Formats: sequence, structure tokens, C-alpha cells
Amino acid sequence: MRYFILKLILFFTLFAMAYAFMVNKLSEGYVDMYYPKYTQDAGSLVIGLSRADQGIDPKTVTKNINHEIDLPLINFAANQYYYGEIYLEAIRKKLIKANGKGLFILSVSPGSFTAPIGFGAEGIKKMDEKAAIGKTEDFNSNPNYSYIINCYGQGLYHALFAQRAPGNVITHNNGWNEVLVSGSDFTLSDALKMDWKRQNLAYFQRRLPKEETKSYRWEWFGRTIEYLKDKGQVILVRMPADKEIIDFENENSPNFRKSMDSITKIHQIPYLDYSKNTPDYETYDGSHLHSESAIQFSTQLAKDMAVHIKK
Amino acid sequence: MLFNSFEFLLFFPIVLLMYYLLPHKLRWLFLLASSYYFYAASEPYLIILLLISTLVDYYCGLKIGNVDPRRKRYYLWLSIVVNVGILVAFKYLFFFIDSTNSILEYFGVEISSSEQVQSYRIDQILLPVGISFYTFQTMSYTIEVYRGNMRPEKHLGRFALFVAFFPQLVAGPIEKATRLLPQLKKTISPDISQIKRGMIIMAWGFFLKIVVADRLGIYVDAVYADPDGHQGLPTLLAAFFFVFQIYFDFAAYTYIAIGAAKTMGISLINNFNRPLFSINITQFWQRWHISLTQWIRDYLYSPLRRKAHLNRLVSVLLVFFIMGLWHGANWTFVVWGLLNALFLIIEVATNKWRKNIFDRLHIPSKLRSIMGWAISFTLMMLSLIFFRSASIQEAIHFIGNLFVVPNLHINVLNNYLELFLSILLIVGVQWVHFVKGNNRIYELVEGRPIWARWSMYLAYIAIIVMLGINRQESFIYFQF
Repeated sequence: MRYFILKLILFFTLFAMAYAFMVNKLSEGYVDMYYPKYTQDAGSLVIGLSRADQGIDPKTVTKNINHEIDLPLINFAANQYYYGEIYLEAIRKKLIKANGKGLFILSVSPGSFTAPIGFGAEGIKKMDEKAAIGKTEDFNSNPNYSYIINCYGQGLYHALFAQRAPGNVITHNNGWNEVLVSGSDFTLSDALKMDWKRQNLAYFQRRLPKEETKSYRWEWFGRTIEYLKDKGQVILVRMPADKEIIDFENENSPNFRKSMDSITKIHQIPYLDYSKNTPDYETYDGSHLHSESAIQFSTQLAKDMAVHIKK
Repeated sequence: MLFNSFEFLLFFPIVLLMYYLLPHKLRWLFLLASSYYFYAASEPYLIILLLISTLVDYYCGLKIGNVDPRRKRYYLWLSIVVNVGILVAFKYLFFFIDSTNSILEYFGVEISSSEQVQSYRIDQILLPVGISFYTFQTMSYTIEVYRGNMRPEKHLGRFALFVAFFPQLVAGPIEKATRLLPQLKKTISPDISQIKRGMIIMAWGFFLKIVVADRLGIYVDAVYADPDGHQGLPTLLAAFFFVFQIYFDFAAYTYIAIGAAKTMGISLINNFNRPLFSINITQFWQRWHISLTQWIRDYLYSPLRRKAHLNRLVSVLLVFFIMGLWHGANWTFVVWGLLNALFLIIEVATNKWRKNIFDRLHIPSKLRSIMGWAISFTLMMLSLIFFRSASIQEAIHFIGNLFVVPNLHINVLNNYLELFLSILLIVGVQWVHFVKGNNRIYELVEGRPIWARWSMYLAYIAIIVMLGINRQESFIYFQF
């Protein structure tokens, strides 16, 4: 029996060593397009869903804001990061460096406040826990082993190859995922972009009967604003997108504008709505700004925010 | 607690060690506490339902064993009503409400607004884990006692352990009391060969889950999440992969359950017998989720035929309707069940006719088997599209996408290596299952010289570490 237990200990020790080695090896290179969001303390944050993830470049904002803000400004937005208890908890852990001069850009769209029909508060929380913000414990370490162990969705053998973001995406250290429409070896054709937009609209159509706006999300959105107001300046932003997408959202969420007006009044914070400026910024799929557009938008956003930032 | 979590990696060795260190008379108590901890680790308060089911069936079992034979049926019905009631309340209530509302709406009857209905809706996501499994298991106990096949269990603790035994609590196999309860009473001494076998079976389960099923799931999820973006061949490949994903995922859970129980000297029923090698639908259902099909056969199909005198056709349709619904509160599962019933009925009805044609054409038996396998597999694959889809409309849309011929772009994940790996793993696992069956996996290692065994252990470590998908995905059958 003793010999058997010794063999078991040897087996598990080898297993643990091999696993630790590969996790560490992966952390030394490219992990995935969301990993940089989890590897540093933040003073200011971009918060929201994928439109903010790809459409707001922290470097451009910092360069053009002309105000002293707590740095670094990190893009902490991503697909599946909906307003709720889990996201607020992640933000709390992320914001180590905010000293009262933080800048918090909260991207909003009708989709930011939805969840599947039938889900109550506990159900939504459980669902949010399945996103990376709910799975990882650590938001500020580099290397971030907690993120790799809990959120990395591929085999660790990738650590042995030189990895990079998918073809047309550049993942920046400040969390911004820059989407290129052309590069040395590719160009996204207009036909492809149109097809992606069509698919996006079809996806929204399919989601429509299954999702509904939730008071839970609005409530936690309010709490998030209140928490962030103590740390600095909060600004709400509705990102630009193609007209068809914005029209679709407005038609199916007729109360969204009213809700935003009421939120801005209650919390006394500025709301910059770029959904009406659709022709000014180009997307690659109807919803998300591509590289040049994102930089152009981030520049304009910084200038517009500067007007509202208290000195 | 998930089997494929770090918590379980700590939990299980401690439980196993303590189990053998404790004297026999205390083991049931320790295993029961461990099982409750295992269950409560994710949703502590849902354990109340488990306790209700346990106490009601314990009481009913005792009463059935002691009362006047004419009155014992009342206690059987009490057990059935409570267990089915728990299932309905926590799994099906809002499905029934929604379905009734839809029917009434169709006929123009005014109903309350969806907001009113949802205000008292139980969170879908908080469906108690394993509820379909343990309610069926406890019901099997009262039915067996009622039928006189076993005496009622007087020890409440041991009975509670039978209901909550952690290896098979949340996703089966659904054990009959006549099999499991006597084993829980036996004095078991540590037997290294059995512990080793159990661990090898568990290791195979972890491999199937972490390396194979979760890998296939990435491709399947990508295609199902964006049906408009993937048509033609990638859709077909996703449907093909899903057949293996669901099988390997469920088989993985079963392997880990069987292996964990084996290390404690307890034998659980084998849930699978190479189902994807079946040459007809009848054979498939004799080899797939065996513990459930046996339960359905013994406690539903046979009474329907013998006592309710329903004809075979109606019985089969009813049984598969219930089997579909057992899997989830969604019409997609019902359609999946009914499609299988239809396949089965057509298969049985055309059996003689097909045999005559094959005989006339002098088709050799091997070719018949291959044709039978291909047809059965294709039908299974098509029916499982309903199983995987969120709604019937989505499933129909997905099936329509299968026939968009020009799209040959199968590299959905932009990673040919992963695609190749997925196919290689399917072939490899199926080869092992073909050679060793589902219940002799330990023979891969047993009896080999030490250098060969340790080479296999090291290769196993390398495969799990390098190829394993890290995300700790829960098992598909957890949701049932």
C-alpha cells in the first residue's frame, strides 16, 4: 500500500510540475486577446461590451484628453461583460490605482441591459459568473496564472508556438483590441463587410425573442456609477454603429433613451450619444469600429469628454 | 462540485483516504457527509430538495413494507407524487405554463402578461443539479419495495447515502436500490488492484472530457452560435462532432463515476456499450444511457403494456416523449425523443420487408451491418440537432443550412491543427472503445511491464497538460 501511495504521489507531482511549467510558458508569450486586460492595475477604465473593446483606444484618449487623470487607462470592456454584480466586483478589484482622478468611460447600448427571458437576479449572476470576469480571481497580475487556469480556452501546447491574435486583430497592452480592415496579406472586401453586417442583424433578430431588458442590470449599472463616482469622473457613452443597427436597437428598445436621460439626471453625469453620428465612423460589421475609425472616434471622444471633466 | 475541477482533485483523495482509514461502521456517515458536501459545494440550499426526496422515500419504503398490502399502493403513489412533483415544480412548471399560454394565445384566449408570469418564475439557471437522476433513483427504490423485490431499508443514514452517493449523484448512472444498497452495507477492505482499476477508469474519463469532448465543443459551439455564418459542410461537421461530443462528455462523467466508486469497492452499472457502433436504432437504445433505458423499460414501458394494456406503438411514443422531456424542459428534447420513437417504429415495422429485399439482392451480412450503422448514425445525428438547438426553429434552420452545398470552408476556428486533432481523437477513442469496449478500459494499462506502464502515465500527463482544454466546463448532462 505504501509503495502504491508513493507512486501516486510521484504521478501527481510530475503532473503538477508539467502543468505549472506549461502555464508559465504560456504566460511568457501571447495568451489571448483579452489577457492584457487582466495583467495590470488600473487608474482609469473603459467599461462595456465589445463595441467599447474594439472602438475605444486608451492611448488615443489619454493623448487627447488634456486633463490629468489617474493612469493607466485600461480598456476593460469585452463581449459578455454586462452590467451586474460580477462586473462591478471585477472593476473593484481592477481599480487599484484610482486616486480620485480616475476617468471611467461606460459604454452603453440597449444590449448592455439585457439577459435571457425568465432569468431572475440569481440566474443572471450565475450566467455572468461564466464569463472571464466571473471565473478569474485575479485582475492585476502579470503573469496572471488565475486567468490562464480558469479562462484560457485552448490546449496549453499553444505555448510552444509563437502566438498572436487572430489575423486582423492587434491586441494592445492597454486592453484595446484593434481590428484592421487591411494588412500586408489581407483586405476585408466591402462584400464581406456587408455580409457580416447582415449576419449581425440576423443574430440580433434571433436574440430578440429570447432576451429582455432587466431591472437587475439597470440597478447594478447605477451601483457601478455610484462606486466609480467616488474614484473620479464617470462618463456614459453610446458608441456609434451603422444606421441599420442603431435603428434596430432604437425600434426594439423604445424606452432606452428615456432611461438614459433619467440615469444621467439621477447620477448627475454626462452622457455622450454618438448613435446619431453614424455616417462619421465606419464599422467592419455594422456594429464595431475598425482601426482607423476607432482612433478617429477615440480622439473625438477625448475632446468631447474634456469639456465635461471637472478640473 | 465538478469532477473536472481542482476542488475535486483535492476532495477525492481525501475522501478515499479517510474512507479506508475509518472503521466500517462509520464509513456510511463519512461518505454521506462527503456526498452532501460535494452536492452543496455549488448550490447549498438546493440540498433541501434532496433531503425531502430522501425522507419521503425512506418513509414510504418503510410503510410499504409494513402496512396492509391493500394500502401500500397509497404510499407508492405518495412517493411518485412527491418526486414527480419536485421535478415538475423545479424543472417543468414554467415550460408547462409557457406551452399552455402559447396554445391559448393560438386560439385567441387572453392570458396574463408575460411580466406577470415571470414575476414568480424560478430562475431557469438554478435548476437543481441532478434532480432528474436522484428522483428517478429514489423512485426505483419505492417501486422495488412495492413489488416485493427488496425489503425496505431501515437505516435512514444508509438509505440517504444510496440517494446521495456522490460519484453518481448528479448525472448517474441511475442505480437500482437492489444493486447499490447491499453494496453500501458490505465491509470493504482496500484492494489495490481495484483501486488501480478505478483510477485508470477515472483517468480515461478525465481524458475524454478535458481533451476530447470539450475540444469538440469549441467547434460545435462556434457553428451553433452563428448559424448564418456557417452553412454547408461546417454545419454538417458540427452536427457530426456533436454526436461524439455528447457521447464522450456523458461517457466521461460515467467513467469518472464508475472509477471513483470502484476505488471504494463499489460497482456501478455500465451506462454505455459502444453505442455509436450500433447497426440499428433498437441496438442504439440498448447501448446508450443503459441505466435510464432500463429504468424506463422496467418502471414505465412494462407497466404501460402489461397493466394499462396500451398497444406497442402508443407505448413507444409515450415512453420516448417522456424520455425526451426527462432531458429538459424544452420542446426540442420532446422532438428529439419522438423522432427516435418514429425511427424505432419504422425500423421494427419494416424489419421483415427489409430482410426480404436484402435476401433477394444477396447483400452480405457485413454490408448490411455497415449500411445499418451508417443509416442509424445519420438518423441519430439528425435527431441530435434538435437536442443541441435552443429552439425547434433554430434546429430547422440548422438542418436547412446542412444543404447549402457550396460552402466547403470547414476551418471554422481558423486552426487546421485543432480540426485534425479533433478528428484524430475521435478515431483514437472509438478505436479504443471498439477494442476494449466501455468496461475494460483498465486493460490498456494492466498487465504491462513497469516501463510500459510508466511510459503510458507520462504520455497521459503530457496529453492532459498539453491538449486539455482548461476552462473547467461543466458536463452537458448536469443540466438534466
